[in-house]
Amino acid sequence: MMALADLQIPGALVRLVVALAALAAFVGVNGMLLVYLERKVAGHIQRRPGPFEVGPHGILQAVADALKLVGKQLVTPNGADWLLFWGAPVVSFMPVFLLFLPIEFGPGLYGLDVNLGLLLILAFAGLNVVALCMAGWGSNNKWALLGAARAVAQSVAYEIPLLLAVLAIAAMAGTLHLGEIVAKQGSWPWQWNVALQPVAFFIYFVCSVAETNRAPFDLPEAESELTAGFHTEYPGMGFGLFFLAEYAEMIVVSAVGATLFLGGWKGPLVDGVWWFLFKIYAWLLVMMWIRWTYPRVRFDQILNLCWKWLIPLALLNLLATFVALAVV
Amino acid sequence: MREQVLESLAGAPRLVEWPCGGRQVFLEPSALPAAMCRLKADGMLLEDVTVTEYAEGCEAVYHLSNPQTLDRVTLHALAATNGGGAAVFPTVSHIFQGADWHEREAMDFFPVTFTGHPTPLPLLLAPEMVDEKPLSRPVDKRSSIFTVMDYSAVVGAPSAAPLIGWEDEIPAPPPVHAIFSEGLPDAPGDFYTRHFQATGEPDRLILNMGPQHPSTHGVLRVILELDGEYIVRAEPVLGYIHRMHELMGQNRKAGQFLPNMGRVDYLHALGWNHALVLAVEQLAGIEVPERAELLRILTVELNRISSHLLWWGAYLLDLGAFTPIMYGFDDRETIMDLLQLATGSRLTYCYHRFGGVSHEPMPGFYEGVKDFIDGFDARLAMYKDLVTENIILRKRVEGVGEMDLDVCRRYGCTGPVIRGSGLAFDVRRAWPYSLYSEFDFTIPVRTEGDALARYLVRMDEMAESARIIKQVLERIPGAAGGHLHPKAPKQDFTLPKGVARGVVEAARGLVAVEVISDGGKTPYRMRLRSPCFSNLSCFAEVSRGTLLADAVSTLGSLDLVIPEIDR
Repeated sequence: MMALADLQIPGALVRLVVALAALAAFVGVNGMLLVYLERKVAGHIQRRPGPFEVGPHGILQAVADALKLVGKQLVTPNGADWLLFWGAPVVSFMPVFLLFLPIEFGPGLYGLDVNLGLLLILAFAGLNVVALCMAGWGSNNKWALLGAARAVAQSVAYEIPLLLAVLAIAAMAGTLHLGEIVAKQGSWPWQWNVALQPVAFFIYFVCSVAETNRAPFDLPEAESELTAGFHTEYPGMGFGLFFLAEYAEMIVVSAVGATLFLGGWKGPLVDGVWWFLFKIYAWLLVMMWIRWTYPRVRFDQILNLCWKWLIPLALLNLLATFVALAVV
Repeated sequence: MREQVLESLAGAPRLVEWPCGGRQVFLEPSALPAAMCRLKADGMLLEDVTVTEYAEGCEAVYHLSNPQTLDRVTLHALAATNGGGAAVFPTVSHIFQGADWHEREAMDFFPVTFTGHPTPLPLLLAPEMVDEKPLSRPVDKRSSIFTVMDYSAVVGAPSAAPLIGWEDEIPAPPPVHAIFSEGLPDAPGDFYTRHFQATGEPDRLILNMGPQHPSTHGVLRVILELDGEYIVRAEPVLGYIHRMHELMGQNRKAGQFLPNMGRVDYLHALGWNHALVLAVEQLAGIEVPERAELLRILTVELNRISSHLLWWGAYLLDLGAFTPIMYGFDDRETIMDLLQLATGSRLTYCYHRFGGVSHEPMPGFYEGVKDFIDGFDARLAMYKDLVTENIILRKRVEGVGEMDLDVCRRYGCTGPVIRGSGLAFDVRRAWPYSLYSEFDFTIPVRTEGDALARYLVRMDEMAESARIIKQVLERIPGAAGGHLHPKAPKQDFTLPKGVARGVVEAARGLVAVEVISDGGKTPYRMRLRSPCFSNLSCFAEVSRGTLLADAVSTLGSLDLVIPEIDR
């Protein structure tokens, strides 16, 4: 104890390290849970039990999947750019921890107290498209290249309405600090931002599905068109990291969504971290429900939806927000 | 005799009426393009080209039918194989584009050439096997065409000139749409990619879609030239699951060939069963009792529903919807259980026999079918609500892969494809076989010609099949006869001499099995006309200028079964 005190480690650093370790565990555990959940949800939507063999009700299926992925040989395709090819999954997965840092899970339960939390998340979320681009280009595979081209066009397009929707909330709250945005909302649903900003909520939800490349907007990997899109060539954990990053990002967008629109950790009766987790999982389940229900849209349709509908709508919403703020 | 025939043909094409085959026109090979031009102008559709090798040379038989007037014409042209060389026919691929593939296939199998063919590359055989000519027989094993059919009837037959425009001027051939180039020996890739050279425009991508691609449903390969995600050129490459069923048909007796039918099209095995037994029954004059006919119709229609259900699920999988296929398989499972009670197998059925069917269904079959059909309408309504009305699906299929009637005629598209393009052409109504003329059902037609039209036609067809099944169930208790005619020959009987063609409507379109027998132990020639083969041949034209995702949608809407294409 003495030694530690002598070292004079700043408290914020300890907090950061502990938070990162906790977040790694959180992402890992929830990633596994989501893989299992996704397969179970898919199963039940498709009138079959889903995984049922590994452990009771197949609860160890995700572990078995992970072991299989870890055990696979890592093959670099002929003519692939080694650095880009193997760097891409890491670039895809690593920023995810950073994204969780400013999120307030419960009262005072956050990794990094930062004024510009929202900006941090939006900035680092953009890194994922770099990873997809690297994977597509580095694979030396035409399908992967097409997938990467789609990923870039799609992610760049959908970041705009996403930002505009988030901006409306930030303007209302007058801050980019996630904790303060939660603090300004009440415990009951009609006190949440979703009641004041339903249009922004809708836009954010659509964009969150598109930004995480989930069906019906899963064009970068569209397996019936592009075999597996940008990750066509990835073996074992190369694919595993992309897979985990996708689920981690799903958690991030639903956590941010819950923070911005659904009152964060506040909820009826007893506030607390359980409300936050409940909201995240409700959001995730809706995303899964959508994935297993709808066909995939076409590439021009997804871009048309963004540029012709969502962006004008988001701009109008933002304008209306400013007008309302000025008047009230 | 041969000289007399040739002399007679030199004057004019000759028209012979055969009792079972409609109008047969015999002509010289050089007269083919003129005849084809006239027949095309009449609205005819080229069903199939059957080439057979005889002692006198190779005979090319062109089966044409008019899907509107239901008129049928068959053109026979005999070309001598001069001193072991190739028999020469003029190409008609610039008149009927569907003939392109038929001619390439014939060039694979027989020592024939089609002069003027734009891309005489191997189609079904591997390029290194192209000199094998697997269907060509040694000279001493070839039969005379006069023993097989009544070819001498040509002498003294009336002239067919008015029918096919013998003396008409041949219109200039339209520009040929050549997909494959001369070929660059040093270019990278395999045989076909070397022949598929980029057009030289910058920023073009040559992409092999398949043979291992999730959306080609098997081992179809399509070479694409892409501009961004737009398809500039596309050409299917076939033959990855080619098994030479036609040669197998020559190596065994017709009864022993029956199980092959389930392997040609594993999704509508009983439709192909039906075509073969029809051909053999026609040839040998075998009668079928009413009860057996009803059992045939019952099982064929059940099989049609199960085939459409699988297509439905797989098509939505192509469009990125994962769940419907599970619902489709749920219903399909019930059908498979039922057909197992009747036929004994679950997928590659072999139920039909010459003169009937193999046996009575096991107990519980009729009740099971009744239960299934009673609940099926509700299922179809659910599919409509859950899937067909979905806006994303609509946007993915509306206006995609548009094919007008002209395309269907030029390529010989049949089945739901031509019905989606506005013509109620269904063999069950056009030339009723079995007892189909006694049942009340409608033929679903759509005029849009897009993927949605084909989709809706198939969905409606399932309901119509269910209607037929209901009527069969009512009739079957009072039906006369057993499951097999008492005078039915043994299944391995030797076929009499002659030519017969069984034409049926299978799930994917017009299926024809042509049996040519010289009276030997095994058929002299067995020709399988696959609807998917013709339906796919239009893909190069239809997919031009579309998005990659639309091409996947178009391919799926054609309902391809690759083993049936490659045979």
